[in-house]
Amino acid sequence: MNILEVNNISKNFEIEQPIAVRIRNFFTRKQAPSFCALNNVSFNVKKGEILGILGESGSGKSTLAKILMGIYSPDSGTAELNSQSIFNLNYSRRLKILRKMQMVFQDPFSSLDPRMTVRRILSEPLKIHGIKPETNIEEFLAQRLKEVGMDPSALNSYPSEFSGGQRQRIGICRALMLNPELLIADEAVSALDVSVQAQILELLLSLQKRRNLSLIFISHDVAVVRQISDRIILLYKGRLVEEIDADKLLTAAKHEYTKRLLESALYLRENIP
Amino acid sequence: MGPPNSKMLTTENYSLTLKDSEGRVLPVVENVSFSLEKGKCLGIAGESGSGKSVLAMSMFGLISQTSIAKKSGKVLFNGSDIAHSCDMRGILGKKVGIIFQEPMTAMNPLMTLYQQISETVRAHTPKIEENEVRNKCFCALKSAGFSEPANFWNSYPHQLSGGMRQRAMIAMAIVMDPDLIIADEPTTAIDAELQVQIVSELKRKINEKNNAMIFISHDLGVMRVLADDIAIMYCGCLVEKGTAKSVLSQPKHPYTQALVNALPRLVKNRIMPVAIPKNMPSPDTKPKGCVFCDRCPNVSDKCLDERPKLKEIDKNHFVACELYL
Repeated sequence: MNILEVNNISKNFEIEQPIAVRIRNFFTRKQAPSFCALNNVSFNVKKGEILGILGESGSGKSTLAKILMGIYSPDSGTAELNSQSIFNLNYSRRLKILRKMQMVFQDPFSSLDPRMTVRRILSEPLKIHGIKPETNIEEFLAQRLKEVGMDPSALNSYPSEFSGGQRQRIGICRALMLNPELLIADEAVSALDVSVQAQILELLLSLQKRRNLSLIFISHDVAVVRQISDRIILLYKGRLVEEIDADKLLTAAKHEYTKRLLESALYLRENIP
Repeated sequence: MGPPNSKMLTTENYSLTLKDSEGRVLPVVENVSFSLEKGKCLGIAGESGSGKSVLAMSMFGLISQTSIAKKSGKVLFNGSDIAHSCDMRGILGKKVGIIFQEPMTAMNPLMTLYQQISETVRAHTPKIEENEVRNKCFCALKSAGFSEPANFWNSYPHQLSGGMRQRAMIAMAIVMDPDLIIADEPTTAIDAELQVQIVSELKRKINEKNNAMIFISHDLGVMRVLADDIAIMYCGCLVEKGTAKSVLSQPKHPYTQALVNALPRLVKNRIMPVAIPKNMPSPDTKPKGCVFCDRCPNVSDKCLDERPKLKEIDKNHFVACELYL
């Protein structure tokens, strides 16, 4: 069963131009030049599945995540979460959708407010959505922190007191506060060292299994995406160029770009046992 | 080992202790010894916080004097000891080129690409003529992988893509044709295709001119392609060093083994990377014995008491571990 269905999404960004040129374009009715970030992208995510989105920088993978989260609106196309449209909604309906769909950000250093304690960071989603936990709030937060492998004593600390890996755990914990069904991880492990990266991947995988989450995992790292995903889609210059089972990525990739990417990635992994 | 004069950079028992604003004393580098020959590339690998960047930066005086509590040992660069000299202006940029981490913060946002690169040239050759500066910058950008450098002369850093900024950083480091290039994580957060491109450019550069390079990274995959020798650093100590091939294909130290296992595999079957349990201790809470003892699967009583020294267990393969004593 599909939890998310995305059809024909396109997004163009206007290229910024000097004011004089913009005024001239306005009077001559000339279309402002634009840059196509996404071009007719369609895919779906099954329930309990990890979908990897692979692409180089500028391929449109982050734009796609931002469109799904409602940060940008698409020029055309539709997306349905549990058969409910997620575009062009008013605030209250938008909130309802967001309860089911949360995001983990790339940079663990700038995605947590440095002036908020971990307690405030974690209880903010509850406050916004007006949710009161059944148990004592302290107990609830402590138990959630334990779930991501952190000590409950962290509640009174500020983000600056933690390492990159621990901050990413806090970010994941925040995303899971509302028990979403779909989690979007945009380059969630790219800023981390290999050893910490392995810890976070392990955590994501165990959480996904335990909560039967659907996960969209976005990254530029072929090896990471291959290992964590069930299915992979490849974006290249805003187009979806390949959709393939992760197990078949190395043997059955067809598109020229996929092959080129694999060649480079394999070259960097040669001879390592 | 070649004749002694082919050595570009040698450190002997180099140690560095820093102090922070609260007065804590942090031993960030401990007894590091290595040597680097001309035409070779040494890779220094380790997690963030292992002291690999601070090692390279402090050797060339890029750590502020006020935060240094103690510095000992020798650093021989082209035969002269630079460990305690304060003025590096003659060396930096001219003899040693440094590619810094994070090009977004290392570049001046108010200067165009041309201004940034030509600054180095003018600083070291004050009487140079304009068209010669232009020529030098052109060559540097070209060999750093810009196909049409002139198109980007007047671009500001924010107008360049991440990969381009990274390559501009490389151009800045190599514009004076330095003998030694220090590359501090030049390829993190870029995709595989561009990584291979940048790495091959750097490799060609050192082979062509018989220069030397120190390549600092936590990515063993990139290191394998580029480095001749690899030193693995953990908590400010070298725990293993040897040729790139022997260290990566037969890692001996438990930390190196764990690091190799933590690397995501690109193979047909699904093999998840194995995480290393616990976190690295901070410099002021280092264990008394082996620095890796609280995370090591093979820990014994002896590991807790005494810090093992590097020992040659194979030809040119050194390991600091009780298992191999």
